[in-house]
Amino acid sequence: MSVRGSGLTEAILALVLLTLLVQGALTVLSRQQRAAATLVAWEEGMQTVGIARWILGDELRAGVAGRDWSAPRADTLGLRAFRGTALVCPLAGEPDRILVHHRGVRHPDPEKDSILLLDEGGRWWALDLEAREPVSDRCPGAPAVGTEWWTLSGLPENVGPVARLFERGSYHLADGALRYRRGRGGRQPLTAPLLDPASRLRAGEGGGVVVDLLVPGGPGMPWGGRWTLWPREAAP
Amino acid sequence: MSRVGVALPVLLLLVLALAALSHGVLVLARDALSSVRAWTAVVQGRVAAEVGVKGVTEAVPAGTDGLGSPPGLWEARTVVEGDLGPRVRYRVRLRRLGPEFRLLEGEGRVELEGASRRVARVVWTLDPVARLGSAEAVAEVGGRVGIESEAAVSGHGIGLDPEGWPPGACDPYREALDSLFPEGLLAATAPLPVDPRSRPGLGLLPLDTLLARADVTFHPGGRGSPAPEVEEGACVAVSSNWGHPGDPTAPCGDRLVLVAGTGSLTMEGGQGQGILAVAGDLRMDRDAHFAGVVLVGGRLEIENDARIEGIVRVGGDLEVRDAGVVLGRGCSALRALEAATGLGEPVYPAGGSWLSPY
Repeated sequence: MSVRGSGLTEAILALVLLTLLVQGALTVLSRQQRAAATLVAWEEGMQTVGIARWILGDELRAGVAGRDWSAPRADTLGLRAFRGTALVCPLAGEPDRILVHHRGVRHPDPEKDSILLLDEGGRWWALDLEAREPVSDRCPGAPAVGTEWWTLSGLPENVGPVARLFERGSYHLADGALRYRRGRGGRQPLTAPLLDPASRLRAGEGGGVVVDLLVPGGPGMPWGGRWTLWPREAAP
Repeated sequence: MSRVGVALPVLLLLVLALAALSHGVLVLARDALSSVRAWTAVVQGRVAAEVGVKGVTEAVPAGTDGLGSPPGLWEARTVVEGDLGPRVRYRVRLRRLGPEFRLLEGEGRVELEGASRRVARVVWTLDPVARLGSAEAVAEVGGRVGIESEAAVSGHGIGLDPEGWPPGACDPYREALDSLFPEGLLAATAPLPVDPRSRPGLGLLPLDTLLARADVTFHPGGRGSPAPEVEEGACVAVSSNWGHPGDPTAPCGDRLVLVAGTGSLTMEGGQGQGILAVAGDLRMDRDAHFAGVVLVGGRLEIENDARIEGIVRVGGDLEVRDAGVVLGRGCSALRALEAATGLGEPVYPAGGSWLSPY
């Protein structure tokens, strides 16, 4: 074989090998891209289902079935959404207000919050929070931060030791997402809009709430399913 | 540039792209794993907190007093600590909200993730002194009150010993009685301070619960005259023996019973002491004598020298006539409430007892 002929053959062979190598690399890249996209979809689906399930579970367990929430209708669950708990400072009450130490996920807001107040007879009273006034040293022994006067409408005579702060709201499955609506405000999305239109919120047997959450995403999508969220306590 | 020279940079670029993509996938996978772990930790924390609180309430059926006295409203005392696994721990603290209300605070913690969740539960346990102190009158009546001229309902001797008792028999209750009634007075009658549709109970213990926990029950429409029964100097615990209220030193003087029934009852003479809970009407006739706490869902009639010493709660009308009397006696009421150990179990407010967020 001449030297010239050998060089041409080697060049062709190198070209073929390189072409194969590039082709293989492109294939791997493409598959890895698909795997990454699937992983992203899985994670988003998992987050969506997890967040929805967690939020609904926590909200339902915080309330009493039949009093604080009732069976969902048309994928809508209206409820009292509890946002804090307060211990009532004894011997410091006035005819229309009580001194409390409050702890919760946010500060009380008379514009949107109401109160469930336990009386000495074990009965809960739903009252409007008309005003609040933070104070620091009026309740001996209580932590300074979080101590405040609450002015309430229709305060009962035998005020008990505990009050709970809540806002009225509703959860919806709409436009592919779990959404929360406080009062008459708009529905704010709490999850990515990944849910299938077949996802449902409905009443289950025994006072539970059946949650069907489906995240479309092709074969192997594991995030979805049906759960029944049971009430921790039911109204008498 | 030769073809080899073009292919090599392309290949290197592809390798770089692959490496970047792999790194992204790895980061994404770790993020997903972290969020799953965090979510699991939060759920584990919540479960641990609830398990702790439930464990305490189920392990102390005789009431939270079995856990010792909590220091006060703003000082919680740890009563239980435990774990649900190698990394999941819980702690339950007890806080005193008032004479009868307690708060059990559960905290669950997952150590590595540092996640912590808290829940609390309101518990009510009957306190005899607080119960007596909640009485606004000797007779709290949901309906009409009728007291004839020769009959009486009196709260003037609320701090006195029951008639015929030896001196000192009420000394164990003297401090509490002096504290509750410093002037020795309690109003004779007052409206029943409960929902008129409900039957009178004891605090958070409704009449139905008292019926379920009774020592002695009677049939609807029952009639009888209970009397102390003694054999060989010892008191015999039979259903017709409701104790001896006239003499605490007698063999049956320390027998106090929780008598309850779903229907009406007529006491035709006889005597007893403790707690008498009648869902229907109660008629006391012919020298019948009961000392302690009397709860009546319907109408209460006291006539022909019949006598109640203690306090009374009536859902319907109260009729006292023909020398019948209701004498307010705090000592008899406290003694009856203290003796009812079956009523010391924790009770949870019917409209919800769990508190979260807390």
